[in-house]
Amino acid sequence: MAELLLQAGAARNANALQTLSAMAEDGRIDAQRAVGEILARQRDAASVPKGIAWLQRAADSGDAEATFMLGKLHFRGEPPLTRDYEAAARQFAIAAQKGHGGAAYYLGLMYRNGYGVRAAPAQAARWFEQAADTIPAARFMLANAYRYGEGVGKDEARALALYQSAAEDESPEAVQTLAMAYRNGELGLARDPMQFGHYVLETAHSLKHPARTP
Amino acid sequence: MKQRRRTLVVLICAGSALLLGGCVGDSHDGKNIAAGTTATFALLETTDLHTNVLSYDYFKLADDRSFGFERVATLISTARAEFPNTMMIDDGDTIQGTALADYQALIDPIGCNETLAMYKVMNKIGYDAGAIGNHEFNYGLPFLNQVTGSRFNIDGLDDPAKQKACAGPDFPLVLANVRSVKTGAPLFQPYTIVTKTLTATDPNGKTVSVPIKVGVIGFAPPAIMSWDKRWLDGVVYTVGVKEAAEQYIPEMRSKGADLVVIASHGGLDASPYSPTMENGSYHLAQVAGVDAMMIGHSHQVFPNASSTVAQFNLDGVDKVNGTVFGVPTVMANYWGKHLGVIKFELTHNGKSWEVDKSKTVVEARSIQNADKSYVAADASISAAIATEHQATIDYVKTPIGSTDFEMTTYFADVGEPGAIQLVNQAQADYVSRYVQANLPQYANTPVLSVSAPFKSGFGGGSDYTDVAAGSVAINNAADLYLYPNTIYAVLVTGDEIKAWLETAAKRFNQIDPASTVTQELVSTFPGYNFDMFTDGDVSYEIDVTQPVGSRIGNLMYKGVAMDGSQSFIVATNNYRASGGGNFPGLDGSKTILAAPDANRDVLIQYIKDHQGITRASNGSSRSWTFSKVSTAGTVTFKSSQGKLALAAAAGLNNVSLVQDDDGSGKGLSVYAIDLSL
Repeated sequence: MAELLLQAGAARNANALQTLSAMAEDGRIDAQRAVGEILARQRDAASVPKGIAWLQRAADSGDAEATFMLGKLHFRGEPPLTRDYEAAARQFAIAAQKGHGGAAYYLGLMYRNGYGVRAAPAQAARWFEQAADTIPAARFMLANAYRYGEGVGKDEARALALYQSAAEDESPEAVQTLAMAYRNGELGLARDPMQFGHYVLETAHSLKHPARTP
Repeated sequence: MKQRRRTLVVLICAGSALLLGGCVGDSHDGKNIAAGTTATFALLETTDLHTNVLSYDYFKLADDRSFGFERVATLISTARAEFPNTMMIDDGDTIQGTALADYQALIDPIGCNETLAMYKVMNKIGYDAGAIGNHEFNYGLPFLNQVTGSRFNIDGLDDPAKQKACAGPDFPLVLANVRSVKTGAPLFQPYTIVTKTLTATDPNGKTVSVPIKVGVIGFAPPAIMSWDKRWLDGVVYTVGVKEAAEQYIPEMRSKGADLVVIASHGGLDASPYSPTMENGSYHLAQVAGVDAMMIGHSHQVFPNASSTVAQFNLDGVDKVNGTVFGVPTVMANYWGKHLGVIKFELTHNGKSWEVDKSKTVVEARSIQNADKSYVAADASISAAIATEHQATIDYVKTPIGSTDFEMTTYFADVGEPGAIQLVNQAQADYVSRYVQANLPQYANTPVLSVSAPFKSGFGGGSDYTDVAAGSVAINNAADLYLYPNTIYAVLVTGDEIKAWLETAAKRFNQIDPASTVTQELVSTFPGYNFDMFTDGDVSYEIDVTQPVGSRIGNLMYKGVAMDGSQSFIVATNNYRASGGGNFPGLDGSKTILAAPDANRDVLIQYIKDHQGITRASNGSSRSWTFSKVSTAGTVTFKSSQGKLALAAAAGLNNVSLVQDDDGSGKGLSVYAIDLSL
């Protein structure tokens, strides 16, 4: 399956996509999700609706990853789709309830900023917390919440630990936050020009391969 | 050169070569080695060198002894003197990362007959094999093809038969999990089997020379497909590291490898295995038949008993002895700060070499001595690349333009845009051109830009941007733009712009106009978050008598009140666009352009393209003023000593000097601002 997905996707192998489609027709959920993802990614007006239909079939069978992908398509609203925050929020909520980290991260963004839902910082922080284990970007947002006391009690030590952890996973913004903190003596850190220099160079480095947002 | 001759035969086993039986052993097939023969054999690792050949910081144009291949080279010599038999392996991220690397790739690209400075000195030291990291792909595949002396069979390049292999490393590069879309075959040879002649001791105590075959297989993070998508999408693809290891390791054994060494450019991640996971080494260690792992990518030290890094505190990872599921493993930090050493005690059983696992020693040796000094540099390294080094320095010092005024941030907090407007102009220009070329759906959306005074006096009077009038060089760009951010553009509404500016205006304390005591204007909110427009089309006031969140007034676009629902594109950086500073609505989801180009490089290009920076065109457009208010007491702020004339030159008529020395001993003066003017 992994090999088929690889061949049909990145390796651009049309035969593999056909095989995968046949498996999807036979009702294999992972094949439905895979075909859906590949078609939805092609971004043309003909492929995207077909991709969404396959993702929807997988989602209807309870596939959290497919539900998440649908949510993301609606959240981003890239052409030919239009943005639909309400639909995205519903789908992220379903996937997040099933423990999907990416969905929890996006739900956190939606509650933080009130996209399609009423802004609720405490809810946002709770979803970022759920996503933090697996998603460095969620850890970064949660660190911000602790630093600025948004939806959680202000806690710089906790914020620092989260920034450090996100930086370890190459979140460029977290690395830069540490650079700035060492430069200015923030987050309880003593000013340290050596550490500042180190983290500036690490910022440049991490920007060449940032932690991927889900 | 001496060390390199220890390699008797380098067998290159790649793709179709295997079918032709190209990987057959040399005349020493090992059958003549007496059972009980013993040898000490040390594998040495460098990783993530990033073209830090010298202990030199090209941004500061100054030595920095804390890193550099010229120092780890000394450790390599020491290890070669210490152990009778060694093998030198690099774990990738080798050819990118300094101004020297950029110079040779982008500014004055090296010719086919030239060898990159980094490979030149590696050739000089002598390597047996090298892995390919993710950064090897940063300059694109044709460049990688050239400088590695390869002949890739990929779309976009001539058929390999028509290509001339250029100069490159004189050691084999191995990469098992990246394949050509065109052929489905690996881009590089997946592995190599190196025959080394060991100085060993036979059962009678006599010193003998006997061969050992060491297979080295390389892996890069599959995430290269997203990081360097613009170069790689549709041209190459990755397969899972575990699947590739399971395919090739048995093949290496069948070709006679006595030892199998994984050179994996990736760290440890205990998440369930996936073929696209970035750090696959935790799972690679669990593939059968691995004798040692050289890992990298994370810029960390392993083994390290005191490490608090999460990846070294996982089940199955012994951070004291340096093993992962029992496989000796080393990660040698980055930029030549450390040398990885895995020392084996080997015994030949008459048929093959066996490792006495109880005697294996894994170390990461630092170039820093216990007394905090650093080991001496190997003088032959700097001598070998003196020309390239000097050319890079000359490039960094090259005037790229000139300015008719001193560009500074001394008075940025009170509205002087002299060091910010140029940055905003460069960003807006870049984003506008990108949108026109690539995002037709936004062709009619206005493009604006914000930037902040990154250097705003936190460290004292010298902690400000200050570029003298006259010629401007590349290294001045680092003063104008302190951080190595990349340029991003976000799509936001007028309301979101207002919320953005309200957050930026936290820079100021709330001023009580009735108070007769002296009030400090600038709060602890950092200058790097004080984003501002400097655009004739945008104007707004900051009313510091109001509480945070209610300070932005008269926000206008082209002379009329900004429509809260109108869309704007705002050029900024990755930090702000992705949530840095915790601005409302900026969370990564508004990003419509995440460019790979650094804001600083965009600025450099803009200065080159717009010769002659002038105060009138590039340093006097104020988008914002303080709302006018008379205060009963004095309102003060601090800036560098002796700069009042610069405020006057910039046309600030409301600033005066209160106290030349603020008493902090940091070169700061107390200035007053009259908010009624």
